[in-house]
Amino acid sequence: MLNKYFDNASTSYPKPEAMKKVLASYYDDIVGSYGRSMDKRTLDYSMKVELLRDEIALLIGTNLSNNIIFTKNATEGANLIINGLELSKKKILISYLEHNAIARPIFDLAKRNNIQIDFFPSKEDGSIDIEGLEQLALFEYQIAIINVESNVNGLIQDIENISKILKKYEIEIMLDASQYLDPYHRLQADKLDIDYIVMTGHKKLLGPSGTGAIFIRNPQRVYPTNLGGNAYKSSEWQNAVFDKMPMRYEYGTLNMLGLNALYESLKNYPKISLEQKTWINFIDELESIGLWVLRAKDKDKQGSIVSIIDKNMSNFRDILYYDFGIICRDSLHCSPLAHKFLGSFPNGALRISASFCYHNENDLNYLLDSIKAIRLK
Amino acid sequence: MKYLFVFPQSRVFLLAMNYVSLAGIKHKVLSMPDSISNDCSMVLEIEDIYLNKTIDILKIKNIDFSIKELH
Repeated sequence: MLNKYFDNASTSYPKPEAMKKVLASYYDDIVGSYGRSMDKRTLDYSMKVELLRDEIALLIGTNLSNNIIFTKNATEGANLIINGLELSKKKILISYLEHNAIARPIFDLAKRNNIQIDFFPSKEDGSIDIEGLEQLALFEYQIAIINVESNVNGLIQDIENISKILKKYEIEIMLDASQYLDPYHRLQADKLDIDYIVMTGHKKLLGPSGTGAIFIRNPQRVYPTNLGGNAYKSSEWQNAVFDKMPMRYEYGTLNMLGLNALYESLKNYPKISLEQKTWINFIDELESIGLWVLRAKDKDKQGSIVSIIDKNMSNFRDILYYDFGIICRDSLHCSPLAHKFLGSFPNGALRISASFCYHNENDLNYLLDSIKAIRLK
Repeated sequence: MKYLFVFPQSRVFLLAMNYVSLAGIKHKVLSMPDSISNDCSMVLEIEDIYLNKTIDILKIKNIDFSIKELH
């Protein structure tokens, strides 16, 4: 059967069977709260939350499992980090391809705290210009924020070489890995001395919505802006900013259902079904039929997302859905900065986000034939 | 004789419980006695025949714990 869902950058679909099983059966019997309940079933689910923390640490390449903090999504995680940092009167570098999950909190913070935001020198497709970067007065910057994979054109930044330069100037690095991270696309947090990573569970990690995580290398640099009950040092109510990780940042009842489902997704992660070469051929085809294609210039830096624009077509998405059953997303994708930089603002583009595990060549051919048929009408 | 294994927080307790379970060590989860600590709400009760094995495993796994003797 054809997979006509091409909106994986919003939320991935389908999901592993084992993950759906957890969601379906979780409330079939007694289950309480993480860190509070001591019945066997709850303890089993609670333990998997901790095994998930270890799995995520492996994915991002850190030994600091305790420094993985669960959040409800990447946006909440980004806000937790950004609003907890002491950045008053400092200078920040960000990439042009940032999502509003980063852009909104950082620009808001800048307004309130006299922070200067500068953009990385960048090439036409938004890739950070390494030579240009070395020309900047980098010693002036406190932190640099980089979207690892763009949710508009799928560009994957050269994190290794960028971080090497930034670290020479002791600049803290924050990565938004929401569109990038999965078992086939890992990070090297310890090796590259990455300070902060923001990620979400419901995209390439194939978990349910309402799950996400962040990594904070040095918790002393990020004040915990959310406080509350977490079954840790429960006698304290006046001094509740703790050093112990992850308790410093995790308050309230954890989404144990979602986190267990995410754990099963990772433990039952599917094999690759779509090769990069096939995906690139598909993108080349889109270009060859005269569409304006927002893509990475370097084919090795192309992730699973691409956007297209047909200047004569404003209702591409609707026709694809109603005539062909294909699900995509149009408009600005919550990334006005990226669209402005790429020249597709304010109308945006039609985004095609594939799954390397649940799509195959036949699915891409069907999508391509559908696009061709629409343009011939 | 029984012993209580006390941990600094829930994550550590849960990891310890996992390692002890995987090693086939008989154990019981109990509420943390108020007189001991309020850092974590649960402890592991271990019988004396498993004491050394439990200590060995938790040390190998770098688990932070303390032991209270139950009379």
